[in-house]
Amino acid sequence: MTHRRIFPICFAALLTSVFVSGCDPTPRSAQPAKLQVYPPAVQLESSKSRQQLVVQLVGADGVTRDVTSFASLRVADPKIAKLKQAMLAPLAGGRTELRVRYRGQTVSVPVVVSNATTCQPVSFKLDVMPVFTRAGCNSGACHGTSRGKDGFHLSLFGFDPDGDYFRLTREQIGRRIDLGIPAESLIVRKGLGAVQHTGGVRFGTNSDLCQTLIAWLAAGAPNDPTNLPRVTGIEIFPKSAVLEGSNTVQKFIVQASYSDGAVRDVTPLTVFLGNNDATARVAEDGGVTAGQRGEAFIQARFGEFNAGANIIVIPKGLRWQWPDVKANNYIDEAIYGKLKKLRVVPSEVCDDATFLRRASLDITGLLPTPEDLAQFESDPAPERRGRLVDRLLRRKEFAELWVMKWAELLEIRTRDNQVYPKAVLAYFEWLRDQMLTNAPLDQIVRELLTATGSNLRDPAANYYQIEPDTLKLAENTAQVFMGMRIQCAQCHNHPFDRWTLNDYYGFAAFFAQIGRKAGDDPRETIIFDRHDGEVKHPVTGAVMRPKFLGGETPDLKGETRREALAQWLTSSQNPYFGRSVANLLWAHFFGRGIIEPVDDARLSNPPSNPELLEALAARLVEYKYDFRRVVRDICASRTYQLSTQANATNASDDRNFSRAAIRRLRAEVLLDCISQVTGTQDKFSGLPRGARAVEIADGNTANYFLTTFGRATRTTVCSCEVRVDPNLSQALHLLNGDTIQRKIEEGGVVKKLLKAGKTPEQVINELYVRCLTRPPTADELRKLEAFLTNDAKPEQVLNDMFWSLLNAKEFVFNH
Amino acid sequence: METTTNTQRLLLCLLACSWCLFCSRAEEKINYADQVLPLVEANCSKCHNADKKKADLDLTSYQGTLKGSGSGAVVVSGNPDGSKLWKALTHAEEPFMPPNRPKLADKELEVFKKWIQDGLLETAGGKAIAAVKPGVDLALNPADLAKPEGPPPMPGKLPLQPVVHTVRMRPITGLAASPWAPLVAVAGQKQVLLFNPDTSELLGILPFAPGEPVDVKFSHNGKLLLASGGIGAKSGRVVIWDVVTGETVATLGQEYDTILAADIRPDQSLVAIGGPTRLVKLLSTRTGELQQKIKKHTDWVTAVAFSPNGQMLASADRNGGISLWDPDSGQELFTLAGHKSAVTSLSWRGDSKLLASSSEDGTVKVWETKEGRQVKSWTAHGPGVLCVSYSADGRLASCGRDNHVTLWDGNGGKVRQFAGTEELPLRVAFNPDSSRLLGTDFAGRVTVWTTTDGKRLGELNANPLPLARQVEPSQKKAG
Repeated sequence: MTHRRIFPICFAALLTSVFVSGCDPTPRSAQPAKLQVYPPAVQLESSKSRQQLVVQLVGADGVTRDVTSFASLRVADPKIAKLKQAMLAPLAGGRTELRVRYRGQTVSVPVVVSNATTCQPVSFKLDVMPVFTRAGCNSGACHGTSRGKDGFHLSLFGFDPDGDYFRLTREQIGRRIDLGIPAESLIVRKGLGAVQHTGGVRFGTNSDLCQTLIAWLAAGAPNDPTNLPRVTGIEIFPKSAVLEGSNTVQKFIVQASYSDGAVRDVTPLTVFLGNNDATARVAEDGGVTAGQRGEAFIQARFGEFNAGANIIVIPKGLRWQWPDVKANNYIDEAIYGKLKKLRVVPSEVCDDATFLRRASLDITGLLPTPEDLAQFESDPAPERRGRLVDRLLRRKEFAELWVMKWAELLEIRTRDNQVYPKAVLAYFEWLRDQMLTNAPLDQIVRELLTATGSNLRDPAANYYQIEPDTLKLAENTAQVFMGMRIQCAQCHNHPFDRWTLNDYYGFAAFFAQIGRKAGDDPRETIIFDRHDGEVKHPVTGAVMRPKFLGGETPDLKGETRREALAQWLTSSQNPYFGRSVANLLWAHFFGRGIIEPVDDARLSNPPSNPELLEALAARLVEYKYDFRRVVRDICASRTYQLSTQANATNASDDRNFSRAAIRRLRAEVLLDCISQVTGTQDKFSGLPRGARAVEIADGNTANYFLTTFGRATRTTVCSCEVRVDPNLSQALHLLNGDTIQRKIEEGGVVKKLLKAGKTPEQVINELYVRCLTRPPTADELRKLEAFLTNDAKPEQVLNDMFWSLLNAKEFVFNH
Repeated sequence: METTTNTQRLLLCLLACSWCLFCSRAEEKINYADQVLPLVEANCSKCHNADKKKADLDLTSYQGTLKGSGSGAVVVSGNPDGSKLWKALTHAEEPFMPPNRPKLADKELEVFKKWIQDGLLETAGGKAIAAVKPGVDLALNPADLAKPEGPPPMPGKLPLQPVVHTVRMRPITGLAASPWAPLVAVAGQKQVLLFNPDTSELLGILPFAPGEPVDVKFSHNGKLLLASGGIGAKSGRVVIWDVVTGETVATLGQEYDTILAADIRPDQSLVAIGGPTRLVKLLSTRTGELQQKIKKHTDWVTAVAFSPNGQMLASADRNGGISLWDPDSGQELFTLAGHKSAVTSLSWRGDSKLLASSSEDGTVKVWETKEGRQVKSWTAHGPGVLCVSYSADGRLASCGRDNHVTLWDGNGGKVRQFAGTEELPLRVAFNPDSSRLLGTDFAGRVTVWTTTDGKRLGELNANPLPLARQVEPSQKKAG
């Protein structure tokens, strides 16, 4: 027997809002448009079941239109189901199809009807719990907070239905529900605003929400039998829309799927949230109205599940022409696809010198030397950029830069009585070896996750020494290798993502059996698998079987939990690993991830260009996780080579990569560059003199300059650790601090150049090339030469000019 | 030769040990210097030493221990249950000691317990400190019950027409028995129903106009009946009726949420009310005016009860707090601290010397009210006790979230469990001669048991049909 899930749903209010009568304003286009009907299949399983339909026309120019009210809808067998405008209702059991016709195109949707005349009892979990989410009762600002509100607590977005059942019915006995006269129950009166309620009016007397509650109370407020199907997920339709002109509308619907294979229209019980009301305002019923130009994300929440749709709004009648720009590779194609939808034109390509500087800084973390510039210029123009990238990728500095980046994510640093310098050095050296030998990233990750043995002799084992806490290990693994923060789900279901407590503790169970024991060396810890130890669900107390995040519960025959996890994490079954690494790479070269922050992928923070992310991830797999090759693709793209200069269409774009971003050099790179151009060396504790800041193994190494400029403390895996936002102490340190002045004097670059017989003009030129990878402009040179006339000590003046160059924004930023 | 030496040593050891055992048996009593101090030094002295004196408490000296902490004595001679030290060590009460560590081993705890019981001896040769008597003698003198003269009031001919009849019933949260007459009041739906518990006969239905009644109480002389309630989050009132005539004597209170608890003083001068406002208010029954407003509870007030002699008012809240008040001045007499979760009910013993409280923390606690000390505490219903009630003969009945209704003797000894109810039992009350126990439940049933053998006698119908429909079937039968 099947159970109906969505109890009395009165669609009258909904119907009126969906249909806008009048003539069809959709322009007729010569180019073919595609007709799409949602949902792709309809099931009606009780007399009260309804299904809202949406018809969307996708134009060749990418613009979408909601033509639901202009299309002709017809049920093939009118004895089985009936249509009232775009709402399908059951009449008799059987199968038929819905035929949708619009301007000559026809699309058919299968319709299955069963139990057409029976009405199923109200279910607490399937019918009543969604009411509290839809009405906002269990949101974080109201009764969903951990202590509840005004003495009444509901679990956040309903993650604990059994607890909520107790609190509603039996916690404050006699107060919250009235089984004798259901309509007089406090929960009903509060929701109606009929009595004092801090949360005000949540629903009307005739609303489905109120009627569902009352029906449940009238039935004696029963809890569910244990064999009831559960919701397994929800889907929103359509998944994206490009709306032209403000006040254009698009209706969204949500379907839930259940463990017995059924699907239902749950739109009336879904909460719709928008992230940008100015661009797309979403109404309670899922109707979106376009506003000003921009992008928006619509989040649909049904019970404890979330789904999302992307919306782009462009002005009506925009005069716009896509320029004839070449796509260098798949990256450009994906970028252009999005820019075309947005009606944005990418900037021009930057000049050679800018590219040389940008690529050198991004790939090696160092500035190009005057010799590099000469070599670059000696290459023939068409191939010189590609050749430069190849040259840079072969340098050990490229590997070292990524050693640092991974060292940050792996939190490589000493910790008192836990991680000794010897272990840190071994770990860092191990990582360096991996990068220098170009080991595939998936292999590195597998080695880390399955590491056993002494943390001194098998350095990858430090992954489990640096973070001994089971739950933190699970969180860090998800954040570093899958780019998602699951921490929220430790205490309650993730409010803005799909992760539930079950997901969290199921994932944590992979780390439950790690053993640690002391080695012979007092600094040593031996990591091993205990084959024993469990993680318990904090609400139900159940022992959690290890379950992949968003995946299955593996059969662990002859495998340790960590081995199974490592295999899955780096396999094609896990879509998150490839995407996360691709995003990490991308963010390094563009100063912003396709998902930003890079380690906060979640439903409500979707990628700005999913196609691009997919393409990059696919290449990573194709290249067997040799990330150098993806870097080469990125640097070869026209998108990477764009100028920072905006044009009329992309001035406000900060997330679609239509122009290059101006990025401050990160702390280590900035210090290395200052040392490089001043010809000086630094001494960091534990490293030989002359080692670069990038090579620092222990994150605890003290350095005022690096701290001021926001280097990662390596105390968490968060991408927010590295800070590149400017502040006053940075400016003051560059201006008044001793780093620059001391280094200029110590390096004696000017003195050496003068000694070599260069004229002051030549020295100025050399300093410009060193610092900015370009000679001074005629104007700059003229102004600077004015300081040199009648001066007996050109060295002093030239040193001051050097100081000025190092303090210039053009030096401190990559552009 | 070595072996011999070892054997000799062993023998000596054994001898010494048995001697020790012997003396401890003869000397049985625990003293501070020999047994307590070593445990203090091992477990407590890091914080509670003469120099650090955390919470102003020094346990490392005998004098310091007797002096107690900043909040008073920590040991009460002869009464471990009343000693803060014991409660902290057994985790019966915060702060749990030693902090952030499991309890001491049972053997070690036993030392502390015996030391307190034995009279806080300082040394083996010391003199025991006279035990502080636990307040009152737990025996009940029937003469103290102050039964009024004359025949106890019973309802005259009262209306039997229900205000409302529903398919299902709301949980019955109000149940009261007249102290002297075979009469119980049940808080029904928008009405209070009166029954004879001995015959199960419905004696009258009193409409409760302000909404849903939550709590019902009889006055001490049994002449008046009071019901408190209202509409949740909207309004709250108290209605007082004359039991004999069924006439409304007074309607009191002007609350903006329902009144969860109310009681009338035995001299009938005052009504105490409490509810979600967290205030306890004392209203004059004559004028309805507010006499005292008591602002002490930190959460909803869940129970108020005047002592049968009228000299004290007890009030309790959802945070586990109980206070005793002087109803005339509104001054607090004692704070009865101990419950770790919401207090669900209060019940006075007929002689006003003892007060029983029930709590969601699973315990029933008994307090003596002369000095405001806890004299008994036991786990009555692990998942939470919802009601406790004294009988006229000094026994107690309780019910709780384990779905059990239990009868206890005056010392908390379990007498019997009543035939289980299917639904959550909410309230219990005895009839005046303690021969019967009544209990209400979540489904709106009122069950009657005999207390002597726990037999279920039947149910009182708190959801009667309208009179017309009651007649119908019999007419049909007649036809």
